Amino acid sequence: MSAFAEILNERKPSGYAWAYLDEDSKREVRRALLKAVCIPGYQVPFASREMPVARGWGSGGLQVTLSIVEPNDTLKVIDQGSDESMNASALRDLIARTTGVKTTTDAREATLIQTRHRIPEDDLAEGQIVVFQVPIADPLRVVDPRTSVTRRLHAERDYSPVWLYLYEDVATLAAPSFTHSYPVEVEGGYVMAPTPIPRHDIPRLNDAPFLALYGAGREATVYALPPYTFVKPLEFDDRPFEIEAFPMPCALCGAAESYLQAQEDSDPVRYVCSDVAYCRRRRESA
Amino acid sequence: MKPVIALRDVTVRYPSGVFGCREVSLDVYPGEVLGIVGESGSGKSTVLACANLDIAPTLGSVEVMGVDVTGVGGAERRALRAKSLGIVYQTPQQGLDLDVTAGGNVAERMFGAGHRSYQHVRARALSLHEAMELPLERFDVVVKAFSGGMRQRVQLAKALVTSPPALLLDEPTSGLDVSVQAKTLDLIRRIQREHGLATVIVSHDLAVIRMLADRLIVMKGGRIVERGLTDQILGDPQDPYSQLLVSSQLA
Amino acid sequence: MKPVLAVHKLRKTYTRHLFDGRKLDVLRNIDLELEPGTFTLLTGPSGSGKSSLLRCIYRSAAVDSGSIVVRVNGDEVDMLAADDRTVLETRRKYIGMATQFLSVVPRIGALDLVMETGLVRDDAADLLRAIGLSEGHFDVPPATFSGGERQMLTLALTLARVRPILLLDEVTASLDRRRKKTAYEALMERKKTGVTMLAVSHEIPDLPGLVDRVLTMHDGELG
Repeated sequence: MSAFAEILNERKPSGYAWAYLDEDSKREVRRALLKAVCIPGYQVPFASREMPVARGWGSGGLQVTLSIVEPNDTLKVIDQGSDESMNASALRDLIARTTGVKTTTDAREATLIQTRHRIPEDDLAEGQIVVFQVPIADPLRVVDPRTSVTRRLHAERDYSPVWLYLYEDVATLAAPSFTHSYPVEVEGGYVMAPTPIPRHDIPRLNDAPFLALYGAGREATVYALPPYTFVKPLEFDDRPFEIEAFPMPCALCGAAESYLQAQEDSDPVRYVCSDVAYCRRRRESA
Repeated sequence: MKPVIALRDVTVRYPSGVFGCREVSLDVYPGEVLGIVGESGSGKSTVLACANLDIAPTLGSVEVMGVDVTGVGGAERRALRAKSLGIVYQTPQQGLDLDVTAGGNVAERMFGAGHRSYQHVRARALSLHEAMELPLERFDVVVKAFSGGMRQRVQLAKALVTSPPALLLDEPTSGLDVSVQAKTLDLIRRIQREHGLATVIVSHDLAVIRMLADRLIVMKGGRIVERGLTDQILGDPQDPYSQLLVSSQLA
Repeated sequence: MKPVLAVHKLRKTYTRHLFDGRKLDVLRNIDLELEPGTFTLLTGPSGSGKSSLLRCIYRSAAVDSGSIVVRVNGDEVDMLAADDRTVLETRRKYIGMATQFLSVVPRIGALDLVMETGLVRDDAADLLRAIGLSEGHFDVPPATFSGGERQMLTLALTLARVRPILLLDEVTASLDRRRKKTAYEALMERKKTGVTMLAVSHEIPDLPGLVDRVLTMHDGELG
């Protein structure tokens, strides 16, 4: 047995494969990921496995993480910026217990970050991988439920329906359908759904030093943004893309440029950093 | 002068073996209206679908503005349709998204043609909306809330927003109340003249054809059985089938 | 001077496909020439083919054989040999045809309808008044007109566009004496401008100077 295989064998809890998935499943996901990295923004289908997480709760992201995690990785899992939420904790537990990897809440230390709905506030570096959980992978899903149709639209770069929905958002002043999954155009021309991250985080995707991987369990596709990819949010020539603006800085740590969440149960309303670990660290070092 | 749309010996044979149309040739020039009449199964819808580049002919060719576009697909077809062909379908659902606003339906066609300025697109869509005599306050209302006649007007606005030289109409007033039909036809007549559109209108209703078409082709069993000036065919049909068709509809 | 309209050996038959399949002779070898600026009246019993002759010249009826040559401004068109678009163009430029009733009744007012031909409001109003339709008719859609009023409107629409040849098919049949007189006077005014007219009627207008020649048709033949 190779040294590596020995390590794998040693660390796994009995009854489970290392990192939960069998090697063949992981290989298939990795192959799909390689293809995804070669074609930024392109949705690559893969055979999505049954996971101990309900569909829509990160089964796709989880499969990606489990397929690429290595024994010497340091893992961070967040849900809307919090490491402690139930969903994040459950996922982190599963991954840690079937791999034995080190976990952290510090984004600067993590080599592998799985996230739902946020990019950590800290500047990320080359070599880090962010895995996004994706509820709806295809920005054209609203147009037609059939993949055969949307694939052709993507192939022809026929994105007028996406522009139409942007138009409708503005024209009807209704609750924007793109609040958290604002469509972006990727180098090469594909339009991609960057998962429901806030507008605040979208500019972080452009020319980023980290690798971004997206896993959609329900739609059984993965897609990717290799480091330093050009990513631009779709915007009308005369209505520039704007990130959220908050009326005041974080009430806890004073950060003026992080993405904040309103705490409505306090009076007056106050705003706190959505990235809990980041906020705490700022307070502790202040 | 080149025809805006030309079909040359077009035959469509479906995989099942059924012929949609056989050896159909027609020309439509700027400023004129060509009518296509026939009963259901005559092939008239197939011919319109070929003109709209929805179906590729099995044999023969299709030309738009003098350019052979037979079998064109993908982005090229999309661009061609956005630029050169406006179509109004028989049922509004075919041409419109009912869950989208009137303005949005019209705007989408502009986005398809590459426009990226919100104000410009909106302003242009609004001007078409008004030109089609739709109420201003309905511009940002979803089309689902519109009556049949109003939905057809939205289709017209959408068809014309990119100023295409050709307009295709597939039974544009069927299903509408009689009084609404008349208003819709008057509108079509007016815009066709104002814009000098090369228009093809498919209808089983000879009164509609008589009102709008300068020239006419009569189809039966996928073939053209008679063609010529509208008033001549309706007033003095020569072919036995044409005589049957005309006598059964026009007293 | 060359005739503005020359019909030669015109033959029309009609096959009753829906009935007994019989072939009927409608027009038998018609020869006819119209000198420019003249008013020719075509009369004869009903069924003699006179309306058919007019419709054949206009090409709103099919022809079996022969030639129909229009000569205007040095332009020469054989209406039977020409393609459909040329025929439409020739009609638009050179030949006006008025029949008994409006074939199409759109829902706009009479004045607007006349203005569609290109006349400005004042000229359109003058024309309608000259024909005998008063202001009260201007904004009314023709659907509500009486037979006589529709006939006057048809004549007005025909005269609204100035064309060198006018074909008139029973254009005064539904009019009372007074209105007939008005109509004939309007035609006379137009004739003075050099327009050539071929009119079918079963009565001869009594306006002096209007009719230059009367031809009679009988059973598809002119003679």
